[in-house]
Amino acid sequence: MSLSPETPRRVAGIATVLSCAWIVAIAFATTRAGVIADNVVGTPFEAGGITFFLLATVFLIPGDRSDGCSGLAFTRVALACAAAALLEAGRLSVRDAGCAAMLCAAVALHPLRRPMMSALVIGLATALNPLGVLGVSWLVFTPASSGRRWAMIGLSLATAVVGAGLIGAATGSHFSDAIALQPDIARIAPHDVWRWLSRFADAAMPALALALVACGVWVSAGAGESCDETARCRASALTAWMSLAFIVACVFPRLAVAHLWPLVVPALLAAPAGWHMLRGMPISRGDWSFSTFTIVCHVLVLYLLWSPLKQAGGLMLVTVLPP
Amino acid sequence: MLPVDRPPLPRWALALAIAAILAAHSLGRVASFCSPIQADSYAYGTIAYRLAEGEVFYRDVADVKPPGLYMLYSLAYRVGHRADRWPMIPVDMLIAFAGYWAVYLLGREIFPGGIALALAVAIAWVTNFFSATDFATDGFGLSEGFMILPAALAVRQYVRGLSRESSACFIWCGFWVGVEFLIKQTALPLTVAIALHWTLFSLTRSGRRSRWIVGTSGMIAGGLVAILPFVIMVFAQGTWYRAYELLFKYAGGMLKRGTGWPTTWENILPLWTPLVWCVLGVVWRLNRSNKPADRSSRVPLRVMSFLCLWVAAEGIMLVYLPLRAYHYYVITALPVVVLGGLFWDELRHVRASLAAQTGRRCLAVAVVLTLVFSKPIPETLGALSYSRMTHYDGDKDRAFFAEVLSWKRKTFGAPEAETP
Repeated sequence: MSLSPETPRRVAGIATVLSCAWIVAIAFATTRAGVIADNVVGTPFEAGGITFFLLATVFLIPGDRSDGCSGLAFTRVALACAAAALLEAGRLSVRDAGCAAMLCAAVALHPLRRPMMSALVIGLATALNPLGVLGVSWLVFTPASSGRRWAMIGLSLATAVVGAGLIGAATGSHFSDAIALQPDIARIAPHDVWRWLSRFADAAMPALALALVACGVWVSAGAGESCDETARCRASALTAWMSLAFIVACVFPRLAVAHLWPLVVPALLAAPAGWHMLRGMPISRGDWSFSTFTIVCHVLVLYLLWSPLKQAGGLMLVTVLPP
Repeated sequence: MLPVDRPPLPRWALALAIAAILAAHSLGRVASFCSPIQADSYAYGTIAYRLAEGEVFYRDVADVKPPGLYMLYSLAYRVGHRADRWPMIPVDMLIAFAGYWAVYLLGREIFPGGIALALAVAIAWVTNFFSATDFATDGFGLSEGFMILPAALAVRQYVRGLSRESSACFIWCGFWVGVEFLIKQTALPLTVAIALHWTLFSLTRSGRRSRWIVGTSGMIAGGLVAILPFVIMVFAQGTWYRAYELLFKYAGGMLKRGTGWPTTWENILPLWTPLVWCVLGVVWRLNRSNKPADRSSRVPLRVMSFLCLWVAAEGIMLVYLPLRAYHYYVITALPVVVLGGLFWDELRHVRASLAAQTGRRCLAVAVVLTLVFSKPIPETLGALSYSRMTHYDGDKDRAFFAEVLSWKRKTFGAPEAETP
């Protein structure tokens, strides 16, 4: 039995629709439940903003066409699960969602060969949340002359300053509010911070795991192996970005608990490549024992989706079903 | 010695492994030493303290365990002269690190150095997790932690003996099994596994019967050498009957009380990935061709079958243990982790037959999944050790130790002896 060439594309489409529906439903449920009104989502307007930015992120994650879109589909589902879990826990603000969407947009602009546009968008992301500055690692690895690269970084920072001022004037919220710690996070005991961080990282674990696979392969392959300059730059940039995000999370765990979403962006961007690598593990009837390993790995990766699904699904049921 | 490749380990890998072991040990032991549950370690400490003060084991003070653990601790109390648990720390630390080293040596006997190092790191994290999260005892300085060293060394000698003609390996194997028996009676599963495997291995091959006799005699002789001082001691003290009662009658009676078999997967969380890798490793090894050229670099089937038998024996033992306490899983984890090494060894061979890029993908996926599913171990240990350390009250600890000493209780874990 052979699959139609259109089948993976259809599966990706269905996954995208489902993930979008999941995001909208959970945003509706969380607003209706009002359980997180004290934390982040105070008004339906804010909930609408978050939903818009999350949907934008879903569509802006760049996929790998060579993998028949299945990596993209998996990443979109993982994104929806992580976002839903964070929303349910009250750990996703409009600024965080906007910052992540901007960062994805900057990377999505890459094929257009307009690096200055990418720099501008990363600046906007930084204006929304200072953690967006990690996206500069994308610019550092963009193939360009040294002078042009510095110009891009300068443009990015200038946009961040101007953008922060404009956003502050328009909304009345200070730039420092973007990385403010919610009172409940400030109260967490030091030994529990890592537990909290780990709990929220679990929400993004499917994408994180795949991104780690991708980075592991990229690092072990070495820079010299790939003759494709674009792919090499992309791999280096995402690896550096993920490493920076990891260091920030380790040094400022409370900040990461409060604003995990912008830190997860490089993982979301690298996850399709990770899925592509998982798919690259052979399955053949001739070597059933090795095929078992490949299938077990697929099952384990899919199992990682269960935790965030359960986390957010519980709230959905409580909210939607009558008491 | 098995024919395995032995390239030198890179220094960074060694440094990383030592750092990981130190981290696991520190977190685990701090969490268990500062545990709010005040139980077994106080019994061990007070018994050892009283032995150091000149009391006689099985007469003035006794437990349902053999004397090995108490003798080691009493040495520390003879030097330390402190009426608290602090003298136990260096002994526990020394034996634990020797245990990790022994696991590395065992791994090195079967697998390449890198896998052996990974096994030592894994056993450090898994055993410390089980000790620290135990809800039945405080988990500090337990006999299960002391059993890792003799068990790993015994198996190492047995594995050597399987591929060598030397009888010395069997004598040493028996000796280390005897030493394990001096720590706790739950050395039984390993003894059964070795006896059964050695018998089946020898008697199913022609011309191996004389070898079986030599090997078995060697193991018995080694075991007797280890146990004999204890036997002489109880006879010299005139406490042999009380020792017999405690070690066999009462300890045996505990086997009927309940079961240590885990009811949920949560109970054995750190063993999830090792168990999955065990199954895959065994399946791969069985499925691979057994051509002589291929066989030379792989783990021999005789070693694999022994490891499987050992896992099964430890699993059956769990069924008979009195309660679902996590510290019982410490010694069960040892064969599971070692057998899990088979997967990594097979993956190494499989990768050699794949394209370089595909091989890297397989390795990356396996490593990442192992780390992801092992994430709860450091996370739990870190939080537990910090929280318990900050709430630890040294004065309360010493006061409770003094209180247990003041009980002047004669027997722990069993009724007092009937006075004529």
